[in-house]
Amino acid sequence: MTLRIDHLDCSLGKRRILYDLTGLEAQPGEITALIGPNGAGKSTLLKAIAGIEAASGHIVLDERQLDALSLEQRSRQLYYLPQDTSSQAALSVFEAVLLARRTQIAESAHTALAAVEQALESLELEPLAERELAALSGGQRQRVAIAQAIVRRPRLLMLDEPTSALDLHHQLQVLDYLQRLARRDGVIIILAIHDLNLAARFADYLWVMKEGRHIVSGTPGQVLTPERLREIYAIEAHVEWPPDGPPRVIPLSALRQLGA
Amino acid sequence: MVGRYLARQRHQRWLIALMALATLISLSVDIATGPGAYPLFDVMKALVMPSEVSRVLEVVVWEIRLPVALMAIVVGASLAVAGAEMQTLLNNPLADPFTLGISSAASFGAALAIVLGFGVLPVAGTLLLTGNAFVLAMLASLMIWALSRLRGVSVQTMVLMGIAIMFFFNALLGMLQYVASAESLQQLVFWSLGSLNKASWEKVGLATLALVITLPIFFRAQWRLTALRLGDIQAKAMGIDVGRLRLRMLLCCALLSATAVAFVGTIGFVGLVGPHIARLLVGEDQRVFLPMSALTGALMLSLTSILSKTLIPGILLPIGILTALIGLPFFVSLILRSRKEIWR
Repeated sequence: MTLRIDHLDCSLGKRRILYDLTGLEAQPGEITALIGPNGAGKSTLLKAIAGIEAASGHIVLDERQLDALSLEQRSRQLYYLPQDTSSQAALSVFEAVLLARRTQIAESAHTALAAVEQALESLELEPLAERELAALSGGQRQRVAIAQAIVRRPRLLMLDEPTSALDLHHQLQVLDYLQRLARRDGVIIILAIHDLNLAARFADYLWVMKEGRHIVSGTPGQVLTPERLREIYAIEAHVEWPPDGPPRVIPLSALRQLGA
Repeated sequence: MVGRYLARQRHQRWLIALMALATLISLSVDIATGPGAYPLFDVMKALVMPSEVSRVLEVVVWEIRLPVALMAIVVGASLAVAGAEMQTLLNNPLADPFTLGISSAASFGAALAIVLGFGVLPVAGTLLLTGNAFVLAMLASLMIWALSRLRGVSVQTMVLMGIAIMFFFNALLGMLQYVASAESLQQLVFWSLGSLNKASWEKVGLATLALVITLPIFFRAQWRLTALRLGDIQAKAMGIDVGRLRLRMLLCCALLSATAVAFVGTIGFVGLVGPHIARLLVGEDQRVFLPMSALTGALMLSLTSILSKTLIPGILLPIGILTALIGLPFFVSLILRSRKEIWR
C-alpha cells in the first residue's frame, strides 16, 4: 500500500497554490515530512489529498484513485489533522475523541468507548478526559486532536504541524509515538513540519516544497545540506553529522535582512 | 475513564428528565392560571374527565387555556431548537431566528397583510397574515442560505448578512408603518409584540408538525452537527460534507422558526438564551444538547406565559415584551463573555 500523487494542481479562487506536483510516494511504516518555507503549499497539499481542497491530477492510495472518492469515502481510509485545533466547543475531551470515532464507524457503544479509552491512554490524556476543550492549553488541545486522529485508525495519517504548540518533552514524546505507530501498524504518516531537526530525527523521507512546487526529496542526509538550505530557505546554516544519528541543522543567519 | 464518562452521561440524562418534569409542572400551572379563578382541582378534573365539570369550565380549559399553554411549549421548543442549531451551524453564539432577521421578515409579511391587505399566498382571513409571515420568514432563511453558497463567504460573514437582512426588513416594515392607518398600525404593533392568545388546536397541530418533521432530521445528524463545532476543516477531515449539512439543517431551522413566528408573532431571546442555558447544563454533544435546548425553550416560554397572566392581575401582557425583558440580562452577559473569546 503506497500513497502516490501525479500531476497535482490546486487553485484557490484565481490564485494557483500547487503546480504539477508529481513524485510523492509515501510508504507504509514510514514517516514522510513535507518541509519548506511559509507559503510553500504544504498544508494545501495535505488538504488536497484529504479531499478538503479541490485539486486536479491523481492521488492513488493502494492502487485506488482517491480523487474519485467522496469526502466521506476518503475519510474511512485517511485522516487529516489541521494545524488549527483550537475549538472552544463545550465538549469534554472524552466526548471529543468519541465524536471522532463515531463520525467514522458505526459500531457498538462498548467497542467505541474502549477505542477512545485506548487512544487517550496512549497519549497520556487520562487525567484530562473530563476536562472541557475550552479549558485546555494549546498543547493539550493539540494532543487531544492527535488522539482524535489515531482513534479513527486511518491507513494514511496526515498531520499539519502536529507539534507547533507542544513543549520539548511532548514534541519528542508525540513524534516518537507516531513513529512507533507507523512501524507497528504499517500506517503511512505524512507530516508538514517546520522544525528541521525534528524532521531529520523522525522522518524517513523529506519532500521539499517551495512556492507550490516540488524542489527536491530524499533522506534527511541527502536533503539537509548547507547548499540546499540556502536554496530553499535563503539561510546560512551549519549542518552537523553525528556518527550515530541524523544530521543536525544549526541556522546561522538569514541571507536577506529586514529593512536592509 | 469509561466509568466516569458513563456517570457523566447518566447525570446529563437526569438533568434532561428534571427539565422535562419542570416543563410538565409549568404546563399544568399555565393551564390552571388565567382570568376566571377556577380551583386547581377543578381544572385538573376538566383535563382528565371533561364530562364531570361544567360546560363553561370544559370550554375554558379545552378550547382556550390548553391550546395557549401547549402553544407556549411547542413554540418555545421550536425557537430554542432553531436557535441551538443556527448557533451550531453558523458557529456563532448570537445566531437565532431573531438576530438573523427571520422574525423581522415575518413582521414585514404580517404588515403586508394588515396594512395593505396583500397576501403572498392565495388565502384569506386570519390565514392571510399567518401565510405572509411564514412565506417571508422562509424567504429570509433562504436568503441566508443562498448567501452561504457564495464562494468566500465564511460563517462569520453569514451572521453579518443575517443582521443586514434584519435591517432590510425592518426598513421595509418602517415604510409600511409610516403609511398605515392608526387602526392597522395598532394591530401591527400588537402582532409584533408576540402573543399566544390566538392559539387554536389547528395552529398547535401545525406547529407540532414542524417539530415532528425536523427533530428526527436533527437527531439523525447529531454526530455530524456536534463535529461542526470543531470547525469546518476538522469536520471535513472527519468526512462530513459541511456545505450540504449546513444547507439541509438551515432549511429545517427555517421551517421551525417560520412556523413559530407566523403563529405567535415576534418572540425574541428564547431562541438565543434557551440553547445557552442548555449548553451550560449538559454541554454541546447534540445527543443531549438538542433535547435539553428544546425543553429549556419550552419551559422558558411556558413560565413567561404564566407570568404574562399573573404579573399584573387582570391584564394579559404581550409575551414578546416579557421574553425580551427577561432575556436582555442574559444577552448582555453573552456579549461580555464573547468579548473574552469564550466562543470561536
